[in-house]
Amino acid sequence: MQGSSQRAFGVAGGGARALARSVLTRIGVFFGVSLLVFCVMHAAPGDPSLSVGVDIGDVGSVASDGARARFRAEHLLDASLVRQYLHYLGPFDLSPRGHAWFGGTDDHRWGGLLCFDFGHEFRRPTVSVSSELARRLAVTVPLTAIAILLAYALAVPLGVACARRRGSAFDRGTSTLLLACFSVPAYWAALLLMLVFGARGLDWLPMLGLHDKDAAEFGAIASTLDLARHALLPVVVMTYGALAYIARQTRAAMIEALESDYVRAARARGLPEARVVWRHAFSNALFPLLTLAGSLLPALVGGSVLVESIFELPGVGRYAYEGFLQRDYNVVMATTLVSAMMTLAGVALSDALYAWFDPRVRRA
Amino acid sequence: MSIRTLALGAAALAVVVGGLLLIVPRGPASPQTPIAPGAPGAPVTAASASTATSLAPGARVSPPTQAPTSTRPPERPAEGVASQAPELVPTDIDFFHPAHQPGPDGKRPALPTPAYGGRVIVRTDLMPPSLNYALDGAAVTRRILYEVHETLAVADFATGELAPDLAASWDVEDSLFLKRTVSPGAADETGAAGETRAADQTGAAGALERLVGVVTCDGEHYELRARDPHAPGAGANATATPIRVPVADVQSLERGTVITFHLRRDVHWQDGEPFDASDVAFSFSIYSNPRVRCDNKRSNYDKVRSCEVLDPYTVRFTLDQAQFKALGNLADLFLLPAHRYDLSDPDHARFDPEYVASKRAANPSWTPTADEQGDYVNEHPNNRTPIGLGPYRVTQWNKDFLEAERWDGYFAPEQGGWFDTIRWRLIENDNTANEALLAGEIDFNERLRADEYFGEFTQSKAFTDRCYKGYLYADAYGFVAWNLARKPFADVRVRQALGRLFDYQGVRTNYYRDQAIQVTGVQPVSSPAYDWSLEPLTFDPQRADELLTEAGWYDRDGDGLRDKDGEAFEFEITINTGSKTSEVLMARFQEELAKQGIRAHITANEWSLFQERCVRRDFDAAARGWVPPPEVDPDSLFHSRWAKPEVGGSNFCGFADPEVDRLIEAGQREIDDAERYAIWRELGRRIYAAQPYVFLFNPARKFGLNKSIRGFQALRFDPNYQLRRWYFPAGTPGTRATRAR
Repeated sequence: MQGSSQRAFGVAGGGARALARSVLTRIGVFFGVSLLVFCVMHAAPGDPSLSVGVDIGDVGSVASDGARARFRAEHLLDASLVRQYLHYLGPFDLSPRGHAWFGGTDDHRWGGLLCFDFGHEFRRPTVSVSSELARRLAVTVPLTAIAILLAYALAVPLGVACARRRGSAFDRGTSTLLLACFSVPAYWAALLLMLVFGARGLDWLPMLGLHDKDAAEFGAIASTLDLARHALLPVVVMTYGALAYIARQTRAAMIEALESDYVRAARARGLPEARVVWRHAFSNALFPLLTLAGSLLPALVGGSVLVESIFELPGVGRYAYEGFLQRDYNVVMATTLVSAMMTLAGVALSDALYAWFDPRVRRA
Repeated sequence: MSIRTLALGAAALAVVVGGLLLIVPRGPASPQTPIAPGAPGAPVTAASASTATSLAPGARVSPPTQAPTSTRPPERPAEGVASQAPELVPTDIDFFHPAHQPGPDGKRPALPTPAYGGRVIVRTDLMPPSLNYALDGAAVTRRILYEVHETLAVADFATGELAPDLAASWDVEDSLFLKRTVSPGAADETGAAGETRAADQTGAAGALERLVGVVTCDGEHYELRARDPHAPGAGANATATPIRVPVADVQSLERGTVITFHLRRDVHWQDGEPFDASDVAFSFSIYSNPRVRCDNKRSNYDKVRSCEVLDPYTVRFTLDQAQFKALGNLADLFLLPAHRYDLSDPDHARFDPEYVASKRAANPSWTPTADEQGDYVNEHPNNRTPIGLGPYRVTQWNKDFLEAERWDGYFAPEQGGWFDTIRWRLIENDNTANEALLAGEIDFNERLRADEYFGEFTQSKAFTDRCYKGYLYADAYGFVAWNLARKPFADVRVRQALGRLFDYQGVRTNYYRDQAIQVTGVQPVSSPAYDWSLEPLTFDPQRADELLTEAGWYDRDGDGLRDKDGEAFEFEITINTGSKTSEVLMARFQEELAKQGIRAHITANEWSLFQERCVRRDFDAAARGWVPPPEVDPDSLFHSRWAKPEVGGSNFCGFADPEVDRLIEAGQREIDDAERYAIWRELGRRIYAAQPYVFLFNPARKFGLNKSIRGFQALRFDPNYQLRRWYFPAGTPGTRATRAR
């Protein structure tokens, strides 16, 4: 009794150590990513101070010397990269308004990534990147989540069905269609759908944003329906590519599983076909899909620049893209770091799912 | 597991880095040169002189046509009526509306009766960061403010003359600076009550005695008639007896250096508080507070020495030197409600008691510092939801749109607009904006491309059922700037030759479908300062060949390229990524250059890099554009003080010419409009001859507008149209005959 208890504690202690090691590694990777992105971005040509306070994009003049000098001072752009990175990292604010220890006025002592502070936008100095990012995530996450769930919900049965009827007309037809879907660029598909369902075509669906121009006057039901109508095309565009990919993956994994010895053995034992397919074959074909699920997590917060641009959705993809174009270091850092964080979380999630579904991993 | 984690982390990183590398533009890298410490800190006047734009997007150009004839628009007047601006925009109301076209008798039907009510949704492709124009000087901010705010005076949209707005009138007076030997009061030889005020020690005129009034000169004496500042509209000779000062006693006369505005007394802020001179004085004061982020605008007001509140409705600005844009800049001063923004205002505590309480809690004897005041202005919530003075009040601003509702307290309700609501809908993507126009999600899109304007889009039933199309001319124009610091372009003959290798007529006809004006100078075509008598360059390869040969650029080694001193004539044209017009126009230019043995490479750089390369003078040729103000101060564009790369500014070319400098300085000090326009025209001719730019086109701005909206009128001056003039005709559902809701 005592021995088994000690073993249990030993196992538990080992698990905690492994967990701690894994968490620490991921934290290290996260800060490594932040450093690398920071360096690459600052090495990229293009001076963000030149368009401060004037029009941006293809309409814009050059900011005055005063505006540029202020901007460069506030964002430490003339300081060494090390100081800039430490300022970004925190927890001390090293800017002129930062901690008195570092020569600032002490107005803002703390800040930076370690304080969960992504800073403020360059173009709108009063808007914090965190709050804007949260607003953008509120658009991107639900849409992408629906798209991913929909893709899985449709792709898995489709892939299994194709694998079961391998070589049949259904399989060949579906596979061709999936290949076509996989090959069609989202941008082109979106424009095509816009032409077909928009005002120039059937005039069935709205193309602009997520709400009707009169949405403020709608009741709860009308509002939900309006949202669904607006979200339909973006979700379709975001779904079909992933659907095709997942279905093809499922099909391939299922074909391999269905040809394996254990499936043959299961059939030989006279098990019902449904049980053979779903319990024996599918549970083994599941693992590539779990890996895929982990890798889709960053897409959840990454958004799609193209889809968001075409349908005018104020999502994270466009935010990151605009940040790149404007050389808004804070926006770029925030969006890439959230993406990196989700990548790491995705890896953790697939590990957890592996452990959940595969007893061998659990025991290991 | 940790190895796999690292591997996946690295993969994620690779994606991130790959993404970043993808956005780093192709083409020669630009060194990251920080601004040199101690570089001259004089403000760049580019923002005030002009706002840059890339060329407007458009369709592909057809194959070149060999028609090197004049590229003037058909409306251009014949020689002899120089400087007489042609009618560029049909300014009739509803000129393009299908229901308002001339009948068989040549007459247009009567306009429908306007009704109050309804909502108009116009597209904006950019949302301003804030609506505080002192902080954010973007064109889109100005566009929206035209409907929600007012200024002291405004340029009449038809004539360009300054017209009263919040200021019922203003006086412009001169300053006579007396020599030091003249004792105070000695000038007052007639005993009249002339106003004398000493300039401070730091002024351009030192501690000289200053007399203020309207000054005339008979050769021997200056005669000065001081005005009674409290008696607006009383005429220049409000003082009974003029002061006479011998010319010999006068150190200098500075024209137009004292400007007094007499404010309307019936104006209220949109929160109901009265508008008065203290608001004007506070709004001006922020430009001298270094903490306020108004650096781009500071140069507009840095010559103004003081602002005095003479009484609650009279405010006087004093300059030390004549400056031609002083009146215009002051008339355009962005006004802030002092009771909300000014920490020293007695009413402020009523509007932000929490701020004051928090400060007083920390320090009971707290008085605001300049830094606190500066931060307060920078971060004030009303920067995004402004309390304005205009007919529309901003009520909603979210990630999709900005909405303003008509405000019943507007001081001139008869000009306060017909719609109940104006909404600016953010749509960045042009295709989506067109779809939204057809679907009725927006009513107005003013960024139609030529292929859409003339093509299937506007001919489709979906369009004609709901919308109509039209155009107007704003003042934006494109050009190619040469870097004069680089060898071939330093030679004026080379620049003159290159200017003759652009196929103006072909591009104008095939690309712009004749809806573009070939410009010849930096002044906007709507301005009286624009020189219509200046003959534009034509496509003339023969003359170009002669000039290039004369400059020593001809093919010596038989490789098909012109060369000189062992170097082939080869250069790079930098354009802004995404500017279709630049792509098309420069590709055409490239073709013609190639025919003349000149190899041009086109490099597209996205905006940040493009800007950086221009400012750092790291380019051979740059295709870009300007959106000029009503009258351009050419200083930052062509004065030699901005020619060096380290001083910044917008003289990207590095252009330097003493005569041009002299003319610019003379123009800046000339407050007589006609005289100054003459100077600008002379300057324009000199610059056009020197060809630091290949001046290209001012293209028509093409729009689609919902047919059910009437009252569209193209205006000659910025903003070129006014939403408050549009309306739904009487009988439209949801409208009413009376203003009150």
